[in-house]
Amino acid sequence: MSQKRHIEPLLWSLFGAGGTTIALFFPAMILVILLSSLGVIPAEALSYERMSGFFLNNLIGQLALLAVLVPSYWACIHRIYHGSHDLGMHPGVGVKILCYGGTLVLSIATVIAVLV
Amino acid sequence: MSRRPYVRPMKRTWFMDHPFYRNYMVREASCVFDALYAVNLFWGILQLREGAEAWSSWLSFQANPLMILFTVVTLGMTLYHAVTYFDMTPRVLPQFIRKKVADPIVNKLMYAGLAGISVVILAAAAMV
Repeated sequence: MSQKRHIEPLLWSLFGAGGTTIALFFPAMILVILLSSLGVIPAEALSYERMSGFFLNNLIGQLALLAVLVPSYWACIHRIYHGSHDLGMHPGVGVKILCYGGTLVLSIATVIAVLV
Repeated sequence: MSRRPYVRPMKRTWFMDHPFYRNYMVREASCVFDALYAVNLFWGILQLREGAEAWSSWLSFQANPLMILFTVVTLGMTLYHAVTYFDMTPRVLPQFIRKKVADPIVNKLMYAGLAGISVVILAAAAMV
């Protein structure tokens, strides 16, 4: 057995966490935005004051948003990358670095956008 | 360092031959929709930071008919992801947890979590 440390367990953990956040949080989040777009719930529900107040200026809301969103990115890219093998494509290390590197950049950008 | 694993040649449409594999691929495809939706949410946060005007333009983009179609499909795919995820959760838990908590209970707890979180989010949206 190789004693070399691998990044795969970390990616797998983020993937597992993201699968959970997508399954638990995304349905209701998507439904609220959909219902608001269709005019079923009043537009004030997603008003600028409410949304920025909770997701940009309230620490609980900020952390909740990051906890839901950032692992979800990783779950998606992990499954897209591994799914490409199922479709008979076998992208090399370069594509892998591009996929996960892009997700890392997106994650950092999200943390900065929400917290700073 | 470079390992060259043997890749068995197979058709690209191998999963179409059996419903089990077809469902697996539908499940895997759901992440493409969720990835795009997550990027849409990230874009929403950036617009929210920009100010009230940018935020309302993001909201009106969500109401675009094509965007509504995409949102409905994404919602369906996400629910399919959730149901299949809850089914497999007990099977991927460590053995010592699995010995203590019966599989159907873990499965029901996941649904309870989804229900609880959904109620909180929907209530927050309804309490204007």
